[in-house]
Amino acid sequence: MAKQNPKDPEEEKIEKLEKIWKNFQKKIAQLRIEQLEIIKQHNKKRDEEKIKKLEKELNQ
Amino acid sequence: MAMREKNSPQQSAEQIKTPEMKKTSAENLALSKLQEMETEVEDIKATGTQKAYDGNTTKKLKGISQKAEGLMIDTAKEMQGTLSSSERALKAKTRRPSYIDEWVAEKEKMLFEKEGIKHEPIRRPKVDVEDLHKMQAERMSGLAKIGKVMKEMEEDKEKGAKGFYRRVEDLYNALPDEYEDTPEINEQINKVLTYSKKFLNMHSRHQISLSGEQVDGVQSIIDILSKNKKNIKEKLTPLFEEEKAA
Repeated sequence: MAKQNPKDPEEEKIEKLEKIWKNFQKKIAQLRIEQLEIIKQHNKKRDEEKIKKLEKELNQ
Repeated sequence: MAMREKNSPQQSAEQIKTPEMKKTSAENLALSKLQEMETEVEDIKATGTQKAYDGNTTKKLKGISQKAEGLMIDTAKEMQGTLSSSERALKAKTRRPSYIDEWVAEKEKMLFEKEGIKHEPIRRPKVDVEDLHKMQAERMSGLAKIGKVMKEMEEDKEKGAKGFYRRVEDLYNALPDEYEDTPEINEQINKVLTYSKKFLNMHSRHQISLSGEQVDGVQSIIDILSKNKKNIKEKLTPLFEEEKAA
C-alpha cells in the first residue's frame, strides 16, 4: 500500500495566509478604484467650473 | 575565508536573534503581510488627504479610508485565526503569535479612540474573569457610540446591513422594563440573536463587508442577548439613549 504523504502543516498555513492576502489585495484594489473615481469626479467638476469661469470672462 | 563568512553582517544579525525572534516561516509571512497591509492602508489614507477637497469629496474619501482600516483589521484577525487554529490541530503547545495580537489591539484602539470610545485592548494570552468584567463594562459605555455606527449601517445599503439596527430597536421597544419570562419575549430575543449571528457569518464569508467597529457592535449585541436575559433592557438602553436625546 502506497503511503499518502500528509500535507506539511506549515505549508498549509502558508497556503491559507496567501489566500487571505490575495483576498485583501482584491478588496483593497476595489477601494483604490472607488477612491480614484471620487477624485476623478471631483477634478471633473473643478475643471468644468474653471471653464465656465473662463468663458464668462471671455464673453464680458 | 570561512572566518570572513562567519563575520558577515547577515550572520551577525542571525546570531543576535533570540529564539523567540526566530519565528516559523508562516508567522514570518503573516508579519510581513501585516506590514505590507499597513503600508497599503497608509497609502490610501495619504491619497485621500494630500489635497484640499470640498466637503462632500472629503467625506467620501474618509469613508474609503475607514473601510480600508476595517479591512486591514479583519484581515489581520483572519491571519491570526489561521495560525492559531493550525497550532491547535497540531496539538502543539499553544504558542500564540502575540505580536499579531498586539498589532490588532493597537489598530483597534486607534480606531476606537478616533471615535471617542475608551477601548481596552483584548489581552487574549491571559484573560481572567475580572478583566473580562472590566472589558464588558467599558464596552457598555461605548454602546451609545456603537448605536450610532449601527444606525449608519442601517442607512448604508451597500453593506447589506439594512434592517439590523431596526430589528434591535424593535426588540428594545417590545421589551418591558421588568423582564418577563414569556415565550413571546424569548422568541423575539432569539430571533434577533439568530439574525445577528447570521449577519456576522455573512461578514466572515465576505458576503458583506463590515468595518472592525461594526463587527464589534454586532458582537456586543450578541453578548447582551445571549447572557443574562434579565438585564437586556438595561444593557440595550445606551444604544438608544442618544436617539431619544436628539
